[in-house]
Amino acid sequence: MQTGVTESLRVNGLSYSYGAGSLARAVLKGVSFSVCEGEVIIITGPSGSGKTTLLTIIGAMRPFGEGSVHFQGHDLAGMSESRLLDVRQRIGFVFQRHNLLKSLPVIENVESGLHLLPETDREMNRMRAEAMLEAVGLGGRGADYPENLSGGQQQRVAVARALVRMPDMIVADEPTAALDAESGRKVMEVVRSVASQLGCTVLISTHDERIFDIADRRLHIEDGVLKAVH
Amino acid sequence: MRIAAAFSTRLAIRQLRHIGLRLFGIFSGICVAIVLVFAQAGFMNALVGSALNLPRALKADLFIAGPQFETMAYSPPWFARSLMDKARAVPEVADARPFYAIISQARNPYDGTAMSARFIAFEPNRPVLDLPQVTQALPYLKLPDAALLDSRSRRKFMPIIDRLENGEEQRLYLQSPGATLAPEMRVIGLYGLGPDFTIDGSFILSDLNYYRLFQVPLDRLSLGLLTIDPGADPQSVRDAVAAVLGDRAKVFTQAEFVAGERDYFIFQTPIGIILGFGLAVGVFIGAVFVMQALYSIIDMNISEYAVLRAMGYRDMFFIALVLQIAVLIGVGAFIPSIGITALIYELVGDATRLRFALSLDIVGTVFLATLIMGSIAVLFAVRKLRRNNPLDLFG
Repeated sequence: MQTGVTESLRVNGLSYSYGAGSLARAVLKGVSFSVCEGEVIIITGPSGSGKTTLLTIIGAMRPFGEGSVHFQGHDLAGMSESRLLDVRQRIGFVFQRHNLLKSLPVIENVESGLHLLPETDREMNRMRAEAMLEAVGLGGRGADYPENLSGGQQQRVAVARALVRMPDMIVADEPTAALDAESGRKVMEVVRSVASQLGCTVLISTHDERIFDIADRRLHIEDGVLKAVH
Repeated sequence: MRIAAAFSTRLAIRQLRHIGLRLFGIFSGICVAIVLVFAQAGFMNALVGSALNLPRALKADLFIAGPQFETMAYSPPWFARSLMDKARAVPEVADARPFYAIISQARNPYDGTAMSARFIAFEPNRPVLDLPQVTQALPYLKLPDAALLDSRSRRKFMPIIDRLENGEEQRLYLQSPGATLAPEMRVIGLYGLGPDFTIDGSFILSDLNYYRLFQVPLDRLSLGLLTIDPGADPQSVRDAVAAVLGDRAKVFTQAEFVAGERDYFIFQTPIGIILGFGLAVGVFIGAVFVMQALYSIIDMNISEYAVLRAMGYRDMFFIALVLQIAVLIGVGAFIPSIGITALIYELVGDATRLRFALSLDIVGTVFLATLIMGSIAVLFAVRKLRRNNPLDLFG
């Protein structure tokens, strides 16, 4: 497992609570860790342990108050919604459900990840999208609509959409939960392989023990506390 | 950004196409609302247009009416002819002609029912109506008890119109407030003016026949019609005439008279108020239909939109997307609505003998109303979209 040497992400003393006052419920309690560029990290933990909350904070979707999250040198603490949106353009997301645009063919779904990038044109976008589909093993399926693909193939399109703009980090939340063992494995191997080629950091939240081996490190969270690093 | 904008357009079109047959349901609902607005606008236009048939046909620069005058819709209150003669003496008034109008009833010779009609009269030697058929028939109006019937009167007058078109005349008994026995009128010809919302038909008589049939003295005028010298300013002559007549009469320019009739029908009559309210209800219902359509499209794609938002697409992208969907379904429903409306106007116009014209004005007005519907719907739909949170995508 090849890992980079430059720090991509540093989480320091991160705490987060839902609710306020006497009703406040702490879901993250002083979590600290760092991730190098190109590293693949799996975050495990029982339901309600705080791993999804951690992922949404790192994914620049949830403002937080206590601690710090440095991503590519930018501190996400106290950032405005507009700045968080800018940061999100440098992150690729893969969710439990593929959430592809049903009305668009596969190639245009992948291209949707590119339209916000500066200095791109339509031909260039098309070439990049086709190359990414090739990389996830779906070359030649660009004209198909998502409904004509299997669940695993749809998830691979979602991975291609996330990776096509060459993000600094991929955030994946239970990406194999809706897939059978073989499809899930294939999807994660694609993520691992393409992210490695792009030097992209990958954070995956999962319960799926069958894919633990693709990670460089595994962080285990229980009750909002980082318990172990494997 | 340019590519993102093009993407929003492509996505709007594709999402509508992807709906398939359900799009037909969406278009149908919005069509109904647009046709409803078209119908209300058409009725309003017909109401105003029909009410203005007579005022617009009167040849005059200034109008004198009694102090209680409100509208031509009913028998106007009379005023003394001497006032018109005084107005005639005002410098820059070139001519003054009397005009008489009364609402009464004629007995239908075929079924005995009463037919409500307006009877208008003037001196045949000093005509006041700008209608070619009337000008040609002026010599015949001087014959005793002779009258012309409006060929565009409502259906109950049709047997009489048919008979006149065959070259025969029709005798009618009238209800006259001043006569013990119902006087008999001879209808000898036709002219074309059109009914309004209050009157089924109208007759034209000479002033002498008007006096003979209705026993109304000819020094009691309904209107005095003044023409002014060429180049004179109607407003200043109107002021001069009003100064002479004081509070014994009202004086209007032609534009004021027509505007007064239009405003009376729109704002004073129940039908005008109902139609105005109906227009607003139509726009409201349309907005609800468009909003429902947008909501259902948003609901169908809510998680996909959340992913786009997670990827960094901003509010402007979603506003552009929803706006374009609204424009597409609005325009898509508007085009067939014009065809349906043309058919409805034809049917209703034929049944009521009112003018229902699909003019550019009406099409423009209803298109504007459609845009208003869409804009209201977009405002609400965008609020819904802004509540869409990519955090919901996480398990």
